[in-house]
Amino acid sequence: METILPATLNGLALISILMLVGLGMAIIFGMMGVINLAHGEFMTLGAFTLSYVQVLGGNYWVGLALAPLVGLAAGFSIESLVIRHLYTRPFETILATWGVSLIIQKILEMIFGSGMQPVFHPFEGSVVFMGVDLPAYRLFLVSFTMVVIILCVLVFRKSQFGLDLRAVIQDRDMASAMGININRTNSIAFAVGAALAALSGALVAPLVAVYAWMGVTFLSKAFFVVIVGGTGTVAGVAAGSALIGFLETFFNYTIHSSLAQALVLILAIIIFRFRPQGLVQK
Amino acid sequence: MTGNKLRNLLALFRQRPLQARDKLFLVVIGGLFLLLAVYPLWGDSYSLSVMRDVLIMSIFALSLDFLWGQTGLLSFGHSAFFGIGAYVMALLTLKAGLGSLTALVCAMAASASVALLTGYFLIYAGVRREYFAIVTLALALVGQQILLSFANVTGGDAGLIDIPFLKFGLFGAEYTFDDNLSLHFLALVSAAVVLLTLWLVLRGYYGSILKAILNNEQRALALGHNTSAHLLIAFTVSAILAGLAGALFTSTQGIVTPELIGPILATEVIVWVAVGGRGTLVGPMVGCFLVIRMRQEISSISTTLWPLVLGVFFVLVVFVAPGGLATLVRSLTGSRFFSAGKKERPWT
Amino acid sequence: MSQVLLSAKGLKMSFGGVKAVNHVDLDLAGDELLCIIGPNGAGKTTLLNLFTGILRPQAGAISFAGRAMVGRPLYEYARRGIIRKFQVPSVFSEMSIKQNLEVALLGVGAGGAEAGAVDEILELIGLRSQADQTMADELAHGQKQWLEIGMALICRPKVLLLDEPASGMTKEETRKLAEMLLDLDHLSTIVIEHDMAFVRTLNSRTVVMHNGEIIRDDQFSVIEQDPLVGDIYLGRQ
Repeated sequence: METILPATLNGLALISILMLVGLGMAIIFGMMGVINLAHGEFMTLGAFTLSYVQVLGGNYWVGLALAPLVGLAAGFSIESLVIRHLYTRPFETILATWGVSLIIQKILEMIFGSGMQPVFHPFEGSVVFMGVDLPAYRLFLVSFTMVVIILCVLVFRKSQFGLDLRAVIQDRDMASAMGININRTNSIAFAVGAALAALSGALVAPLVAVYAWMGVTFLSKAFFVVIVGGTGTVAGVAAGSALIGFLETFFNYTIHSSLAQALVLILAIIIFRFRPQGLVQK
Repeated sequence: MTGNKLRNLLALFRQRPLQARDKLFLVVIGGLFLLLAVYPLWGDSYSLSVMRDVLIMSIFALSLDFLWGQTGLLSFGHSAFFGIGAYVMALLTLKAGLGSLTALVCAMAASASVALLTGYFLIYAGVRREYFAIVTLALALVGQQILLSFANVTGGDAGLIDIPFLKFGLFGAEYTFDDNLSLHFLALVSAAVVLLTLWLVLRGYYGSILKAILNNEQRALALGHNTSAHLLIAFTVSAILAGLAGALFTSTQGIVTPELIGPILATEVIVWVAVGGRGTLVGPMVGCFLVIRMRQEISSISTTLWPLVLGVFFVLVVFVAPGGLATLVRSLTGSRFFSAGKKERPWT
Repeated sequence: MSQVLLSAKGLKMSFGGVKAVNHVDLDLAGDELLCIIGPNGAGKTTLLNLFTGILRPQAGAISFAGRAMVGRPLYEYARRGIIRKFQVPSVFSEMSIKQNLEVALLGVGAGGAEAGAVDEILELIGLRSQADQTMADELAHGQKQWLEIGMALICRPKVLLLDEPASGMTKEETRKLAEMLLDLDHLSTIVIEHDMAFVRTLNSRTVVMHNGEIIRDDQFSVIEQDPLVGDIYLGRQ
């Protein structure tokens, strides 16, 4: 019990982060079909936003609120400058977004240096549950993420924007003929995906080392979450996050952590081979 | 029955008669390598070391061009195989004390195994193009993470030093490649051998098969070609060559660092091939030289600047040269020499 | 009467509720020429896709020379002698005519074969001149059809499946094609066609498909007189 509960919480925390960043990826990759290799950098931007706000003396909540806004702005700019022109060219999108990823990383490095950025959270101590100490911050993280995801699903299902987005994904030309502004819808979708990633970056920042290139580790994880889980549905992202989060946590506790990454990668490849449509079918 | 199969296999590499274009190629290559052979006469020690690094890296460039240029599969993390070759070579010669030849073979085998394993699962599942690119990228990323975390073995961030030079037994006497001159010729001959071998292999019918798969895989399948097998073999050979380059690199440099397996090098090799002309074999070698020289100039100003330049390059090239750089050159010079592949989707 | 070479029993294939092929039984003998006709959407191309392994039937079996074929990898179909020519010419556009034929030859494991085979086919399809220089995508539509036919023939198929081979061809080329098909022996041929004049020239066993089913299977001269067939084509059924 003493290791299982905290381990489970750690697992849930990781799964939550993966779900947020995976959700952003699912919108951008799963639904829009855009392979965005700069997705990790949206996370980094969120983490750096939180850090910078705190360095300036601001509090955690301001930083947390600002992070997705920064993500939104970054998403809008990149979509209109780069992504919009490459919608029918997935391979060129890879090249261009990889370039954007490098640019963002290096610009951050030039401004903030290559050292670790300081970040802290306001949840001191732990909550006692069934006789075990559970870190308060992780409990907050898991619950907060759940709320955000529920909000996202609601917005997607009930709002006009959600409807528009689904129409555009189904049939671009038809949607355009019905008067939906394609450019605006794509823009917003991409930006929302970026905002979710930035939010997840701010949330995970107190738990990891914040460097200019931290996004790269989460990039492949996010892709695998979406590919393994089945591109394009929230349930799929949940399934993919759960599987990959669980595997990584499990391997972290039982064997060397970097080996865990490798194993997850291998397993993801194997799963992909045998179920190329993902775990959850559309 | 097996005699027939063997005959058919050999027939794949049967050479067609030399055409004008081939003769031109041989003349240009001959001239180039002749120049490089006499380079030590006027190059100083530093320039020689740069040249041999370039020559070995050009083998790496060839390995990617063979895969990407001939079959269309882009390995976005090809440095994974380069790095595996380098680290296995370094560890076996430095820590396990194995002989050069054995270690070299093991290094190439290691790269080959990883390629076979991942390639089998990906290629036979029909993973191509962009999906193949992102999974191979993940290989390089994970590879780097593994190296960094087992720091007690791999030296972590700093890597390893004092990697032994190559030592071979030749005609009874033992020869160590440890001075500028011998290292130069080692690099030169290796590059020449790889280039010529690839050229010969691709000139035959085998090259046509790969080109057909690149053009229209479904059609090739419908004509009886086991395209997945061909692609897997090409992927593995490409990995072996990359591993060879990595092993040579570390034995001539004497050091090995995690940068050799990381995404920056993976990005750079793509740039070498794209700049030089995908599918031309010689082009990527020239591209390698030009881009490495450029990196040296830019890095001397600031080390952060070079990856930034790479990033900007990647973004610009997609917009400025949508037909791939070779097509850009072709339209500027009107030369048909740089015919680098499909017209509509030249990056895939 | 030759032995049955290709045999399909109870084939079924649906796409999201639409029965493209609905319980088809078909036997093809060695050395037989068969035409399949029918309005658009009758399931002709789907049937061909099933015969070549591109699609896996949801029910039914296909056997070729006594061997069960369903589930085998695509390239095996070609290696066993089932060769197909696609409806839309599908050649290797960035390779020369000659290289296209060589690749076809190599596919069926005939790499040891001589250049003689290539020359022979080039002569037959009338693309001998410039075979080395001309890229396949520089050819006119009709010439591409011939190249494809050449690529199919060079494989020495046991069953040749042609999907609308005469489309885009001139009257003269169509005549030449019909002549060639009638001349071929030691192989079976299935031809899907819309060009009725062409089918009439072939005057062979003809199968009429409609809504995924075979509704007539007889000599063309008989089918031509059948009022039901006329109704189908005019949309009265």
